[in-house]
Amino acid sequence: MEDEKETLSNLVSELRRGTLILSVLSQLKDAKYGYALVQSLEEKNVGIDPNTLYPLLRRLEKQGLLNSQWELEGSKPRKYYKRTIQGDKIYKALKQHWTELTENMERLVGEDAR
Amino acid sequence: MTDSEREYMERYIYEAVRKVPKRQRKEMEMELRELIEDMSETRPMEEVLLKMGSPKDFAKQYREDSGYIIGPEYYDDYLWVMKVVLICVESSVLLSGIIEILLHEGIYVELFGKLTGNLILAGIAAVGAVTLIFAVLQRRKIRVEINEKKKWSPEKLSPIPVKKARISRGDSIAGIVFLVLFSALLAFAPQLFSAYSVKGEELQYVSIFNLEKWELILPVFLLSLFISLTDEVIRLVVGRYCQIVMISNLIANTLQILFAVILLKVLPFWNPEFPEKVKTMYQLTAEDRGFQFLLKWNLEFLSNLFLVLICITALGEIAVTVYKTLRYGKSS
Repeated sequence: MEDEKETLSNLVSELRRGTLILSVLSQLKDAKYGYALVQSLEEKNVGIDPNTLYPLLRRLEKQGLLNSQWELEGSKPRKYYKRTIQGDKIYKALKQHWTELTENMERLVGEDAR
Repeated sequence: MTDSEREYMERYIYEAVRKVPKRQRKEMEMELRELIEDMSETRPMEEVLLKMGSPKDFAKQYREDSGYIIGPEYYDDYLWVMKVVLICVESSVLLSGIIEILLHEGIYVELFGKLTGNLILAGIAAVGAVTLIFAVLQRRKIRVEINEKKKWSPEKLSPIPVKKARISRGDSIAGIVFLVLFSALLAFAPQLFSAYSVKGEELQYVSIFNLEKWELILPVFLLSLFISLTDEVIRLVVGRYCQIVMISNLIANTLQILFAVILLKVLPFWNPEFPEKVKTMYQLTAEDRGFQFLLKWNLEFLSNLFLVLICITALGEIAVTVYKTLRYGKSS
């Protein structure tokens, strides 16, 4: 029973992993700092662990989809992330793929219901 | 944030940051501090840090390098060579230890202690040497693969090597076994390379090597054997004649000749008292054929003979490798 639970939770997190990039990109039209991003995702019921998010932000920045800037004024230094122009383009294309994917998946999973 | 909460935060940051490469540390520290402070505004520090997970795991996600010395593609060969080398090394150390115990009557405890020490030392050295060779291969391979990754197509698959282009695994293994046995004997029982005679109950021997200068000679000797070992391991892993094998072979054999010159012509390699002592040991007189033989085969002559033999072997091996690579190994 315990094994079953663990297998399921591994599969669920595997399933969600693929959607993380799209989730993150969707929230960064305007610049946000790390924790604000976590909160805005959580508000929409998309939880993300900080130890997954931070390396992901770094990777997306390396790929040129995001850029970051340290804001040193204010009460404490914060690093703000924002989509680049290339990031906008990729986000739009990814969204297209997502729509197609969900439609196809609906159809596949829907076969069971019939 | 209370003082004790701040203390926990600092501990966490310290633990996490020191596990990533230096150039990432400052940035990561700032990011972590920002994040933890933000999170702790709405909940206690303990809960925050629990949510973050252990600092070790956090840092692992940040690391960009592969984080291993020997990767899966080399792991089988690595384990295998390691086994062969360890068995060879330990058995020759054991053998030389037993011989030494048989030769020296008396303080067995001391000899036994020395043998145990040698077994441990030899094991560590063997593990280290094999790991070093494979770590270097791993690094090289990574670079080669990155170059190839750019554009892969089925045409890039090298054809199954024709029989003549394959390097026999047996040959490589025989080479490795020989090199390792020889190295271990040189390191732990150089006195085995001697002329022996039995006088009544007593066994006499005269070493052919200059054991008084051995600490000077041995490292050079072992280094030269280590280079050959590297070459053999590359042959074993690659398993076919190709550019990498050819280059490795060229370098190894050239160095071999160089080391042979240093050992035989520069360093005091032979035991200078060998002819004299052998004469006394076997009680040779001027009429004996053995004496004539010793006169003719003086140490200078011996050095030159070995040098010529080593050069011929090395050049021969280069010639065979280059020929086979150019003839059969073009496709790679």
